[in-house]
Amino acid sequence: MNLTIGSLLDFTGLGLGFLFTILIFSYLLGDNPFFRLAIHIFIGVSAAYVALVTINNVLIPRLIIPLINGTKGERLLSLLLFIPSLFLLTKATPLRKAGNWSVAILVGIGAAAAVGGAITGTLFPQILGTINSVDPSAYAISTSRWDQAINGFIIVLGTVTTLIYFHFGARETPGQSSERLPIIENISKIGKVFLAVTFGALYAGVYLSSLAALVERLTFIWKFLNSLGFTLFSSF
Amino acid sequence: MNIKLNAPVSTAIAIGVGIIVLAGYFIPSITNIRFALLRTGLVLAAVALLVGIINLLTVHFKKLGPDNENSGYSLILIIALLLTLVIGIIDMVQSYMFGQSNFQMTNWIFTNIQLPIETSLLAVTAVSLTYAAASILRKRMDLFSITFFFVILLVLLGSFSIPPATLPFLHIIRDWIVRVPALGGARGLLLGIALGTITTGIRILMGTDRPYGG
Repeated sequence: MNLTIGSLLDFTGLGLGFLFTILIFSYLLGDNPFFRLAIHIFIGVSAAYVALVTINNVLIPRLIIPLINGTKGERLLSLLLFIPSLFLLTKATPLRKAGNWSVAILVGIGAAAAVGGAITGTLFPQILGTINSVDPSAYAISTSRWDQAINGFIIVLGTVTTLIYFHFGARETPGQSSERLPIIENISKIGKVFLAVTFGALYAGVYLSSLAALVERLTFIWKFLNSLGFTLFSSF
Repeated sequence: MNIKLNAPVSTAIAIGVGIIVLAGYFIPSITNIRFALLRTGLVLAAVALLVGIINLLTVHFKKLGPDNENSGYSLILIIALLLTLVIGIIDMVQSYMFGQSNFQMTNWIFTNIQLPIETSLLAVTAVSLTYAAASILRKRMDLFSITFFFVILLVLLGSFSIPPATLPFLHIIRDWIVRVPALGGARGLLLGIALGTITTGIRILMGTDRPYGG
């Protein structure tokens, strides 16, 4: 009996997967009610799933369990956490101004973590990586040093010119519209080419991923139809 | 005299908490305080996410009614959200009360509804990306577009692993593009993003920007 319920659930699941795939693929014919239906179900299910994961992985182990089973200190700390959390919940009610100070804690911590993370996680490692690409003592022995030097120079050129491309400071001239310095303007053109190369490589990467997803979905549709008895390709 | 206490209090809290967390990155003796505050931030972020979901529900509840032609979609969204939430809570109760931590029903929903839709959306992107790449040169023929187009072409051709389409020199070109010029551009982008993040963060920590309603 269990096996029957199990297979029925499996089949229902596959059927739902097939149905939603077709509903999403209908977007290729243009925006239509079937696509919108699938998207609204998707948003609802995803929002609920995210809420469940948040409750199960963060709120219960870090707030509820210490409050019920924790030591005296843990209970006190959890209680201290509970107060701003409750005030933050008022943001979903008409008393939303009461939660401003809770948001202030969140924003303060978030901003500091972002600044610290950007300095220690991106700024220093990327600058070090760029310096190392033109540092002969950091070169690999297996490849030609000239190759590495030229590649290193191109990497530095790409990094610097791309940064300059995003420099929008301009000198003010009375009676004329502000323009960037000619040298900045010219260097930023090289930066634009490097940006095109980077975006092209990223685009190709995303395209390959989406192509893999397309192949997976088409294979799923084929297999599902074959399981229903629609033999599309006998060799498949 | 009407004194608005809320704004300075919120600003002082944001600046105070932020400075302690930031100092914790550079002063080892207050690292523990930084971690405690980061844990607080994690819990508050989780609650903020729940507030966002409650807001989503409220917005769609407001859309229900005969006046709105899209009210049917809102109703479906609400049903899907509440149904998944109820099933998940049943799973959670089973897990915490009776020790059956398998989340079978929630996993079933994830595998059979969420995953196929997500994969299908990514698959549809393949068609949109093909169309966009094909029409880029038709819409704008300049150095940026030409470079962009040919880099896509070279990286794609260099990525094929099907025997008739495998050309060793294309693999080498692809590897060089990804390893050298694309890396240079990406580093520039990353450094720009980091500098922008630092600027925005410092503006918040100095109280110039107050996104908390202060």
